[in-house]
Amino acid sequence: MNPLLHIHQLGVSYGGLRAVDDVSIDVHTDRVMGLIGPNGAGKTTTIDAICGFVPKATGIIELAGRRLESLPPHSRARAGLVRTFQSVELFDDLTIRENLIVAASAPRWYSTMLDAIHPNRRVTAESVSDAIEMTKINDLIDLRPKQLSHGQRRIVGVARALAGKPKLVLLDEPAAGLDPDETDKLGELIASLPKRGIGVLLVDHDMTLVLDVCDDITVLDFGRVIATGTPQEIRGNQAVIAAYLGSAHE
Amino acid sequence: MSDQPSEAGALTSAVAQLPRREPLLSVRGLTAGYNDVEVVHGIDLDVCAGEVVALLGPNGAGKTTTLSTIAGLLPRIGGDCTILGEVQPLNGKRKVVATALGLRARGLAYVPEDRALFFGLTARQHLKLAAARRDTDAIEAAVAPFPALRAILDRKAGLMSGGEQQMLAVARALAARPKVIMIDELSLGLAPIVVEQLLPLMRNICQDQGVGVLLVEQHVNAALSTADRAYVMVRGAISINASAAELLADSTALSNAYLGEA
Amino acid sequence: MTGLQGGAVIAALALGLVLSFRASNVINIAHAAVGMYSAYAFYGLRNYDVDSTERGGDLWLPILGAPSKVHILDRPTVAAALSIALLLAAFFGALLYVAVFRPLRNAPPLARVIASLGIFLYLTSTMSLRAKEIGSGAASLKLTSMLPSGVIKIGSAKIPTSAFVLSGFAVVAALLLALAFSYTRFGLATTATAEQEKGAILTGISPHRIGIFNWVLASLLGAGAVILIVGVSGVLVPTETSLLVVPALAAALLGGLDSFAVTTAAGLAIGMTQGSLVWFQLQSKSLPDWLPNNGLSQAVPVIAILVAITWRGSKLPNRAAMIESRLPESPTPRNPVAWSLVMATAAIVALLQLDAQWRLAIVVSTIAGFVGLASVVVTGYVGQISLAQYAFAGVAAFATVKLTKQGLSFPVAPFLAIAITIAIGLLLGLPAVRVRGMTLAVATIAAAVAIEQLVFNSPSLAGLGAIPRPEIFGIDLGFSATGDENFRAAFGIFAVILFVLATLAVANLRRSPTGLRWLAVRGNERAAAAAGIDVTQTKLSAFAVCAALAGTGGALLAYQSPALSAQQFMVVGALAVLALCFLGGIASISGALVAGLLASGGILTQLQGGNTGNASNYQFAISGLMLIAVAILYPDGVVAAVRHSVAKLRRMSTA
Repeated sequence: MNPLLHIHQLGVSYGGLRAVDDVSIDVHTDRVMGLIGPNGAGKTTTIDAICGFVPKATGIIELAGRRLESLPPHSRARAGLVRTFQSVELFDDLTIRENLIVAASAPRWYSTMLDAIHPNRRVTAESVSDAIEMTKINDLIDLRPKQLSHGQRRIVGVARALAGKPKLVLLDEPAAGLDPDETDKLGELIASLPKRGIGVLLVDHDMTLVLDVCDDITVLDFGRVIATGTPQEIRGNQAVIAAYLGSAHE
Repeated sequence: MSDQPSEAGALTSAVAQLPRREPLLSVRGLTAGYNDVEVVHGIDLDVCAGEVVALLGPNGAGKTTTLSTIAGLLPRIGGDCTILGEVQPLNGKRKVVATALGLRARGLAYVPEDRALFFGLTARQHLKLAAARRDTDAIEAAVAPFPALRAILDRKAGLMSGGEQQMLAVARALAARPKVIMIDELSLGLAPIVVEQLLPLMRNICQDQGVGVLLVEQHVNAALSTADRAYVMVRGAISINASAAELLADSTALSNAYLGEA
Repeated sequence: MTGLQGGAVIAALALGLVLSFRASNVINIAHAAVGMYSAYAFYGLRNYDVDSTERGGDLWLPILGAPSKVHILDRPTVAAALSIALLLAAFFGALLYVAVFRPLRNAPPLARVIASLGIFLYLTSTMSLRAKEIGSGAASLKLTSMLPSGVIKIGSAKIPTSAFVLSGFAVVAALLLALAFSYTRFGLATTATAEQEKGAILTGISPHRIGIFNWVLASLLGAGAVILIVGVSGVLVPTETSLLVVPALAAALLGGLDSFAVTTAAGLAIGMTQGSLVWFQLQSKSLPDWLPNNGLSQAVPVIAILVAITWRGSKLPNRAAMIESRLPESPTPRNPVAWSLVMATAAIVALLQLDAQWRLAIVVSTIAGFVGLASVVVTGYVGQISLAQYAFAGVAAFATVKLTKQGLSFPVAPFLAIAITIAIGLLLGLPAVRVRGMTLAVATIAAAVAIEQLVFNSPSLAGLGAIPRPEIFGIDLGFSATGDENFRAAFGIFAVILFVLATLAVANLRRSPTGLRWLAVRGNERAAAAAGIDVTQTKLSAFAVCAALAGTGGALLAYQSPALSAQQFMVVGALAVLALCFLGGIASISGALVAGLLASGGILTQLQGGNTGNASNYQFAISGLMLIAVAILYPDGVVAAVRHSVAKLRRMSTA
């Protein structure tokens, strides 16, 4: 079966430094792929490159058979490759519902003119109510991001990504700063996505979460893939343990 | 592993045997964070002359926040902070620059996670700016622990490798002849072999010059083989306070803190 | 002014811009204005005839409410006068840094732009008041050159000696700066601070001391350059002299706001290109006669800025640049229909009941309100700091007149004119795709000045006179009449209705998906792109709406004015409108209403007892002061501050 997301030999250089080097990852529709590695291993840069936020990335990025590497970030998102940010980055001026609507609505060239005359046209896409239902944020939709707790903001970040009708979501540290209870709920949500036909690439530091919800894990260190395998294989992998705890580990 | 410091103290280590000294840096009930969001929830921490203390913990535990708050770069939310015998007043946001400069002048050096080097300046220029005007030997003293750095004194920081940059960042801190050095993620982005060379150097500096070193480090085992004591921080609080030897002997507690309970 | 002289001044001013930017992350739009004041100080002190018994020695003060001038010493020598003028410049530099820009270093870019615009407005308007006192022609200050007056021949070209001296001044200054910055401890410390403030503090460098010193240096350089060039050119006009900053901004941007050498070279090159274009235009017979005399040369800075932007800009800000882009809150408009009805009724009743002067004031306020709405959309809702709104209005106004003269009738001509304006708006929006914050403000100022010089001053648009009265469905919407009937209410009602419709449209846009996308882009371009929003398209749509709104105001102005002049659309007006919007809340419709009410010659002026000669200068000066104060005290905007204190009071009363 062809992978949903096919990354082949992805590379990013910053002033002579190879931040991401020859990274290849395949994510399948029905599986959650974890991407882990110590601080500075190049995980966020990899996500940035996949989503088009790094101007000079090399390599092949293919989503459901469609080549994306020459598209700007917003077109990749419209094509179904939607990400979240480590620092959440919600739109503070908008309510939660509006945050979702903005991600769901695709404007036409005449939308501005129409909006000036008739702002309350029915624009709310089904994906918005789906995303609200999946993430169970019904109580929050009329609040603004600043009125939410950190954990709630994280969940809304995921909800906004889902509102964009993604084929695959890239979650950049969605559990950072969540308490164990919130992390559990997030884990359930992530694990449920493949059943709805949404692929997941998950970056996180919370190993309990990653080992729990991921079907496969790719480990990066110094911008290169040092291991790929099931959670069980990764837990026992000496190279991975060395990368995390230092080479002096016996 | 228990998180009771008293039990940890029962284990013998070189430092535990030393007579009690006045710490160079002493923090009690420190709360810190950004704007109004508290990230560090009341921690206690001491660093004495001639000892290397490691501050460990998983990402997001609040280690960097702790260090930059002690350095005066972040206004402290609450708690007491005594640095080199002087009780630090609770200065607001407006006085950040003056506070940080004052602490540095008293002998507190800080090497931040991003190293904060000037890519357009050479190593020599960095050291010249950092040294006191009349202190003519400062540059020599600062590069003494790093022969590799001495060879590239006239290279711009932007053209150095990660390891060379890290040496320069530490040398810049040393050029001011500090009494306490705080180093955030010495090994970030460095190959393990470089880390294994750098950490013992910190041990030497500490012993030779009687400097206190507070080290945030992600290579746990490497850090523990250099440090005398270690604090482990999880979610903004100190969960383990023990000697390095004890932590090395019992790695389960650390694995749990880092990789989650098995 | 030959090209070389002009280039030297541009270079010297640009060096000052680089210095102050490196020290405090501020593109100081008021840089040449400080130089302009120093020139007034110097030439005011020296304003005596050596052969007469005149005392001279009067120091003109730019302080509102204080005496216009004080006598400080009799018959000062050049050295004495120069020392005093430079001392004042140094003092201003230090003051601006310590009191204004240091506190604003981490404030949103809009607050920094607003503060520097405030200083610009304040200095140019107070000195315009002083210039009126001084008088013009024979009464004006004696502007004598301190530079040698000979001519040096190179081949067939004759170049004034002063040009060599001036360019020598610039080149030596650049050289000294470059040397000092690579070799002295101070220079290294400045370079270090500019690159990494945290690193500087950790190295024991006080960024504040570095800042003061650089600002003083920048001010001295600027003052010296302006004083010298004013002596040579014999032209000292507050606004015009202060706008010397535009080509200097172009040079500084080409130098990346960092390199002294590139900046100086760019400054000289811009000046010489301008000089040769002026010469070329004078010589050439084949150029079309609609080009104003120095029009082509005014396009040079804009082109230079566009080059700099394409060269150095990027489509999305990087991770580090994301931190400080917050703008005042944008509340969702509540009951816009009810509000509009109240507003419209009040205005229409006033138009029908009050006298001609009031009717004029209401129309002036309404037109300014359109320009305000345009600012609210582009700057408030989308966060793009644009200062070209009056240029848009001017394009529409002149186009309306021109098209009418070509034979098009009432609704067609203004519609077409507004369409043209939208096209220009989209064109001016293009830089916004690549740059943001202060740089965008600079690009739009330059574009506005270029449109003003190149288009509005065109001989083919001069003296077009009035156009036929607008008429629709047999109703005469004309403005002018005779006697008490003048400034007819019908036109006023028409304008007010249009304004109310525009307000409603803007309120609708704000609540619609378009408005949500605008606010999303304003808040976070990276996240917006990640959410599938086309950031480029979103910004351009805002520029189009902005141009349409300002264009509507301009078209109304075409029917209101008996004769259009370039003065009506000067960039200073746009600064004032942006300022007033900021006071009223740049991100809500209230900002546009405040801008309209407080506009010069508008309703507030009428309340104060009508228009007197100096009213607009006083008003500009006071709005300048208010801007500076507001930017420092409430960098997030006044309305947000008010809302927060209301919320706080409410919490206290419930607690």
